[in-house]
Amino acid sequence: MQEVLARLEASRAPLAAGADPIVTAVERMPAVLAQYSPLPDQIDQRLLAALTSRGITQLYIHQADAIGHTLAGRNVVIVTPTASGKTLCYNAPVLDVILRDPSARALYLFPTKALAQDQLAELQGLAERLAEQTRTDVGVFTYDGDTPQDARRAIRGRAHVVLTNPDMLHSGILPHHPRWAKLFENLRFVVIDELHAYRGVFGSHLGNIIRRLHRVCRHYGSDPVFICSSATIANPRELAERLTGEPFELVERSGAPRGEKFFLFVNPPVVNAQLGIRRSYLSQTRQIAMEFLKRNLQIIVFAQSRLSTEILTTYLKDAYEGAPGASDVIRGYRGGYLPLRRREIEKGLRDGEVRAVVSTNALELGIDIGALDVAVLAGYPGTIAATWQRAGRAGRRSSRSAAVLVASSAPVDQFIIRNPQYFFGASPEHALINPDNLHILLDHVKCAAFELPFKEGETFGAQPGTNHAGEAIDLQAVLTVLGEEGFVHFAEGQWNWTSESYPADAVSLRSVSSDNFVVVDRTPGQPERVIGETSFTSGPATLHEKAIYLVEGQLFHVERFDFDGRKAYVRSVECDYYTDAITYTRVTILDTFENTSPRSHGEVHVVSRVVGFKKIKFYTNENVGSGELDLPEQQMHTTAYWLTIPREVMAALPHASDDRRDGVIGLAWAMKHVAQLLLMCDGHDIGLSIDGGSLDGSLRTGGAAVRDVGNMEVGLEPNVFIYDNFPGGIGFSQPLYGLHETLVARTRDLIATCPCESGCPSCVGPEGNTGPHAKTVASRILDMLVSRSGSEAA
Amino acid sequence: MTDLASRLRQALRSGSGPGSPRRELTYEPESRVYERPTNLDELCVALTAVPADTPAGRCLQVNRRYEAERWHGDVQIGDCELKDLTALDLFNPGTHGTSGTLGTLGTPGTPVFLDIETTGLSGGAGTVAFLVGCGYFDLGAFQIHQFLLPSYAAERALLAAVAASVEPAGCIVTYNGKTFDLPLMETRWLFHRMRMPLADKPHVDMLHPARRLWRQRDAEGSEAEGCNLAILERDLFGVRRISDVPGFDIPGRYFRFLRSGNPAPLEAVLEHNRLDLVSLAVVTARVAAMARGGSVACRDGRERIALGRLFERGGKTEQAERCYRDATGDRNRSVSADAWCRLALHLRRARRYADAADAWQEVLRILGTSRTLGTLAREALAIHMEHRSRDLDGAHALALEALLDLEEADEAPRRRDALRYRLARLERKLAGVQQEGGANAAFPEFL
Repeated sequence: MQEVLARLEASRAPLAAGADPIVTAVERMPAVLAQYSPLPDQIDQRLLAALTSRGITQLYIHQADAIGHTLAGRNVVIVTPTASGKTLCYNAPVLDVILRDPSARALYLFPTKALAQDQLAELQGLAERLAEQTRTDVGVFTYDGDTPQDARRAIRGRAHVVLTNPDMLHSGILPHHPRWAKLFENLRFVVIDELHAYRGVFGSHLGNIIRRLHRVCRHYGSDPVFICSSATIANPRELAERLTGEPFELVERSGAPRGEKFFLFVNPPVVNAQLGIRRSYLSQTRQIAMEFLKRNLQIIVFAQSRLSTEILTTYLKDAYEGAPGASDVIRGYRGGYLPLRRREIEKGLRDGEVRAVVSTNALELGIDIGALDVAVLAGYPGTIAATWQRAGRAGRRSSRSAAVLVASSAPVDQFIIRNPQYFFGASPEHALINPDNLHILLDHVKCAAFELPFKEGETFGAQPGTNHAGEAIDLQAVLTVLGEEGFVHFAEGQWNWTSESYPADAVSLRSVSSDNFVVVDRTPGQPERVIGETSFTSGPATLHEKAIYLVEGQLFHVERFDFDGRKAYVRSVECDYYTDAITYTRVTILDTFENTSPRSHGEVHVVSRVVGFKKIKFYTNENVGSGELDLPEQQMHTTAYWLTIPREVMAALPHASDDRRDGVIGLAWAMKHVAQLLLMCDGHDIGLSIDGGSLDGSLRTGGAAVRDVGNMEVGLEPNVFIYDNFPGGIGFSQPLYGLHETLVARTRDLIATCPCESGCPSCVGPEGNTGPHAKTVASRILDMLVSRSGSEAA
Repeated sequence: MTDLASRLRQALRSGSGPGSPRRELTYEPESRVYERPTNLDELCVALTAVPADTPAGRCLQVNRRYEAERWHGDVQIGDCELKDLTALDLFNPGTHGTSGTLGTLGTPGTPVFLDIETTGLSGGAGTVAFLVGCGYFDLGAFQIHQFLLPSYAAERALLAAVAASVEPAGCIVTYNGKTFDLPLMETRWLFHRMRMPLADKPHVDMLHPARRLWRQRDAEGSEAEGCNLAILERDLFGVRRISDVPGFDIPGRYFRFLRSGNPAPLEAVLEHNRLDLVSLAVVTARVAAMARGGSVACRDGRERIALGRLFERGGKTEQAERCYRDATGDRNRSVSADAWCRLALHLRRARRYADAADAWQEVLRILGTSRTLGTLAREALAIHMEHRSRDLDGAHALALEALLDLEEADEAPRRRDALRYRLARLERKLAGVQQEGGANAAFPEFL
């Protein structure tokens, strides 16, 4: 490993004078020794014996702290690195209490079924020891969508510890709480693992599910202690308190040992200074990965999307060719693979048979894949927290390890890679949730009313909340509206559910719709089989007719896309290109919450449609063809921040209309990326659209996606929309409205300090897409905006 | 800026998913009549009911009595009283409940027939049984007590009243209660953390025997209608309900009552529930009579065949054979052929091969060249002739015919392969070539 790192570091010097350095940072994190604490005396002797027999004779300090708080009845959130023994922090107190009181129950929540399965094995190991040594039976079961119907009744009766996920708690457990009376009457602990996964929409849903859980617990007279564990984020305690509505103790001093670790930042060299084109970061990633792989180090490569995961898997398999059995040594891994294939890859990683895995964020969470030597991150994951989390996948044992971040040419990547101190010095992101999003809240108030009648004057959540429009959310007002629509009825002091429907079924926690598309392989000469699935929202973009669908580097051509039947029929092909969909987005303003020219925020209607696709050649990334598509629209109401470029500013531009348009598009491109950094959110959390401006001062429609603006007209007063990519909004628009000045100033700096001549992917977008004057025009507009606001302030 | 209420309405109507929104309204939206306290006395008058007082409060009780002389279609109520329920064990080998079969319990007490009406079909904490009907035989008459929820707040009272009513029951009889009524009631008692009176009672679900006995009837006529009680009573007893409430309308009627305080929509629901209870009692009596009486208690060949199969499953081979034999005399040729076919299979299982062959010949005699059963008969006879009666020419001819049948239908490739194999072997045998090792023909397993 040292050898590869040295070679990489040697290339720290730029290729030519004046060019950017290739390695922009080498951060060495020294080894850390373990800090121990003795096992607390108050723990049940039987548990002590079981722990001892598994080789646990002392605790790390954070484990002791956490167990102490928990046994004293205080909620606790534990923030420690991967592989620091956090599971013991909750397993120990839970088992201890169950041993003392066999009627006690605990509920564990994991963000995915796979993680629950992982933890099941660990807990069952402990439970078996206890059974052998003390003949105490502790029932530990997973309960999720995969649990067979006939086993469910037995689990409800016998499980001391139920391992499940928010989706199942939401639709399978809470609505059926009478059947779980035994659990809820005796519920002593709720464990929420991977707390940081519950941000944005998913977190906002979970916040409401916990409110429902609290109601059900009160009904059965229990008041459980919460134990949460989280990866490093800026506000773990705040997130835990917001999610559960309860006060928390924070344990963040890790006592776990850590091996020496290196973190390198790599910026692919510029290959065309005029166009600002860098070497493809995927090629750079492949090269670096191969260096490690050749020296027999086990590696994980994180890619940014399902598509780049497949492309990198293909590249690595190609490069590794020659060695026998190569196909099994290098694997791809992402959501959409069938569970069996995933389990096989995870096992291969633990056994060491799989030497390299290319993954999306699917392996970012704590699935047990054993100790790896190196993590290579192809592209900046979008958040500081996710970057550390992915880097943490290497070096789980106390040995030397390395992580390498390879920047793409996206503006955010370039900012991070050129300013390493921003990354290494900054605190990670805040995880934001908004449980009072009207859409989410309404869905869960319905579910809650189904579960137990609401009392007159009852509240939902710790205190009356306020939503993004600044309104106080009054539960009784929500119920009144639900009453008008016939969902509930008020009589004798309570609101009862008066609908035949089962409201939880209509609510999916993970995406806009619970629908998905399945991919059916119809290659002639073999039986038809399902080879994958895709969420409803991303289906049209990845499974449209003539698309190339990739599974672990194997290519399939989509022959028929059955939108209504939610199926895509594919057949295996050999070709040297992949496809990338073109999406068209249109935003219409519905309601303006606040407005101080040139900024506004409010509610908008977003319509998007996949209109075509490009064929892109592997390795060279040449555009080798395209096609048009006619697919149904997807629509949502959400909230947005928008910048209206004033008429005078547009009029003052000494440029032709085409160039003005290019300038606005370039400005929008850069601004979205700066917004992403300022909001510390994921790129998918916000969307971007530009409209044609209001020619007659009233019509504010029209517009296009930034990637497909060939013949768009920019009007006299164009709007740049940055919208929350979830129905109802998730709370980014109002902060962005507040950050407007910073947003404009930072965008100006990003464009002004970019070394390219007339636009590149790292500032206003590649010149080929935006035209020759985009950079100049964008800079002018931003200069004028900044000076206007300066003069107003003066 | 719009106010919260209109934003809520908008959010509620837009839904969060694409595609058409789910229809969740079950009633015609009415003006906002909320605060009309339900007046129990008025309700009692309107519905001819009495208040039911329990330690947990008050609900409504509707009592009706169906005298012994009363007719339900072509049966008289008084003839339906069950003397001995143990015969039903035949059809419910794993009788629901924790207490085993009725037979093992000795003589059970009075059976109580139970049927509920609910605010939905989905189950879960938000689905409530707003009407629980209990019926039992009392001195030859059928006595019904219906417990009605005047408001959600009275549910504990309703549950207590129902508990008191079923307490003396020897067993519970339902229609589809195993998957619907009983789990739902159990959920309600659990919800209120009350003791469950049904848990330790034996339970007989009549849906399963009814399906086995009469489903084929449905398959020909009214498959879409399934095997619900209204269909059964029409087919079995000639009962025709007049302006019966369709099931899907029932929750909506209750919600309308809750909102308006007007009990009128509930009249028809109460009547529907009573008719279901009476039908259940009558159907139960018919099934019990068939189980006791065997073939003679059946009305036609089709019932005899279905009953014969139930006897066969229950190990009562003599009664089964009797049913099949009696059914062979049915005037309907296809029923008669079916009966011969069942009989043949039954005889073959009993290793009475010659008798089985005769039965197969009867199938062919009735059906001639027709397929399905005819083909089956030809295959079976070909086997019999090849190995037992040693009529190689006959076997060859029948096997060839069977193969032609199957090829024409272009189905059952495994059976076709088996027939080809058999034909080839028969041809070798006929040509005097020495017999090859005997792969047994794959006789269709589906019967």
